[in-house]
This record gives sequence, C-alpha cells and structure tokens, in this order.
Amino acid sequence: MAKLFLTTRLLITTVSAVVISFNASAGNFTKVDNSKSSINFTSKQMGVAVDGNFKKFEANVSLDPEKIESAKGWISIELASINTGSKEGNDEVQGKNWFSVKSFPNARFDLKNIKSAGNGHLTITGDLTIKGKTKPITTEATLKVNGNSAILEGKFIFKRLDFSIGEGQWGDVDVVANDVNIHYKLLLK
Amino acid sequence: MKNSNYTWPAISFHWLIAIGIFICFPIGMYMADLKLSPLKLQLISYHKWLGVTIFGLLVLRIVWRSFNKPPALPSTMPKWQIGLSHATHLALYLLMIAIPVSGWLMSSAKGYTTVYLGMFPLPDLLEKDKALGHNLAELQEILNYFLLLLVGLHIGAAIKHHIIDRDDILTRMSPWIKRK
Repeated sequence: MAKLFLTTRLLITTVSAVVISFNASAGNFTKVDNSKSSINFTSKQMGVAVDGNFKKFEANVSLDPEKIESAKGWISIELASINTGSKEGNDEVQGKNWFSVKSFPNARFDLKNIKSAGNGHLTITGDLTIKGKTKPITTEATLKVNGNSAILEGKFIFKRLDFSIGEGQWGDVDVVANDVNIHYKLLLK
Repeated sequence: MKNSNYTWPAISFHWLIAIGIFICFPIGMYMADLKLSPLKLQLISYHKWLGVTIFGLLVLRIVWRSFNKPPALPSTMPKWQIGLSHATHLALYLLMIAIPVSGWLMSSAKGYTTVYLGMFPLPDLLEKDKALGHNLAELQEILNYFLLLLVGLHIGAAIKHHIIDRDDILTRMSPWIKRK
C-alpha cells in the first residue's frame, strides 16, 4: 500500500514537473525569426491578382501565450525590400507616388490590443503607419505554440489610398485596386 | 447559278478576326516599350482580352470551316498559285493559333494570370519562370513579324486577284465590294 502511494506520488510529481517545464519553455516570446517569417501581399491590377512580399523587417515582441492580452510589440518593415514580382514594379513603387522610400523608409505596426477568442484565435488591433499616415487596423490571427517557438499567422485587408500609396496617375482604383490583402506569418521564439 | 460566296458566318469570322488583329497587333507593339504606367497596365489587359477573343473566334471559325467547305478557287488559277494560296492560309491559321497561345504562356511564365475582361481567370499553364517568359516574348514577337509578312501577302494577293485577274477572290469574302 505504501509502495502504491509512493508510486502515485511519484507519478503526480513527474506530471507536475512536465507541465511546469512545458509552461516554462512556452514562456514569453521575445524574438521573431525573420528567416522563417514572411509578410506577403496580393494586389489586384486590372482584375489580375499579383503577389508580392517584403523581404526585410524587424520586430520587437513580448508575448506570453498564458497572458496573451497583455502582449506588446511592434514590427517595422523596410519598404525598399519590396518584391512586386517584376523589377520595373519594384523600382516604381519606391518612388514618390507610392511609398516614397527616401522620405519614408519604413512601415510600422504598433500593437495596441489582443483579444483571445480561445483555441489560439486572436483579434489583434494596432496602429499602422505608412508614408507619415497612421490608421488603426484590425487583423484576425491564429497563434500556434509548439514547444519553445510559436507561429503567429493572420491576414487583413488595407486600403492603399488611406496611406496615399499610389497617388497621382495611379489613383485610379480600376487599374490598381484600393484593397490590398496582407498575409503574414511570424515565427516567434 | 452556283453560289461561289463564302457563308455569312465564314465572312463574319474572317472580318471580325481581321479587325481584332489590326487592333491587337499595334497595341502590342506600342505597349511593349512603354514605361510602367496605368496606361501600360490597361493596354496590356486590353491586348490580352482581345487576344483571347480572337482565339475564341478562331476556334469557332475552325469548327465552322470543318463543316462548311470554302468555295472552290477559280478554274483560271495556275497550280502554283493554288498551292501558294493553300500554304499561306494554312500558315495564317497556324500563326493565329500560335500567337495567342504564346502570349498566354508568356503571361503565365512572367507570373501574371490572364484574367479575361478582368473577371474570368484563365488557368496558368506554366510556373513562374522569368527567363522562359522573356523567351516566349521574343518568340511571340518573331511570330508576329511572320504574321505581318503573310497578312501583307494575303492582302496583296486579294488586290491582285481583284484588279489584275478580275476574278471573284476578293468579292466572295467582301460581298459589299463590286466585282470589276
């Protein structure tokens, strides 16, 4: 009887230790692994979906899956690292009518609030600043914790003209649609 | 009296496709050298939509033709002219197939889906491959120069038949023109 008691105690202790160590390893994510993260976008030109992405960005996060609603962070994207799918496209969008990268080299997202709907489903709100204009945006995301890393993945639609992206002759949304779909995937560590 | 005219669908197909080519070809030549601009994106789309339209009309035309034989050539035509005429027409048909298809492939290879009228996406037949896209663009350009050459020969021959031979070659495809 004493032996069984001891075995049970040992089992409970072991299970507790595993749970504690799992929590400890999940812990607080503070880094974004750029090599395994991506920020992609899809725009529409004359009804044709055209994919692109940003190659360089840096992020500063503090995110604890157990206390997700108190997470903090920002992401800064180097706009000159854009890949629109063609060289002439890349050259064009760096100019004054588009991102005007000489004056505004980065786009920045500042996290304001995360609401959890359970099961890793999140509603994230924050301020997006591009070309000197700041607007609030909301994005639906999922967080998948896997040991000591986690994948935060989500999408949102933003209107390019809210940020004066594509001005002048490019203002015609029948040629380049106002809606741009953003799809991001961040590997947190 | 034997009717030596083409059927009205054959005449419609011929002239609709001719008009299409006469618009599509110069748009293609002009847009290729434009700097990236909204106009360029619009012209590229119009060029593709027109190309798809021409190709669609061509498929219907070939179906129609396979059930409706064209009228016989005048008995006065020498054999070498008949042979040359058949060869030219065959080559024109092959180019009218190859040119839009090469454009479609080029667009796929360059990473741009062709979306007919901005609403109906065509399947991408090739994976994105910039070098291949460039080669297909060169191929399409060369095919278009052949088309230009053969269309010139085609028009020249029609005029020659009308004015010099004074036969019905031109008028049977253009019933509104009076025979000389």
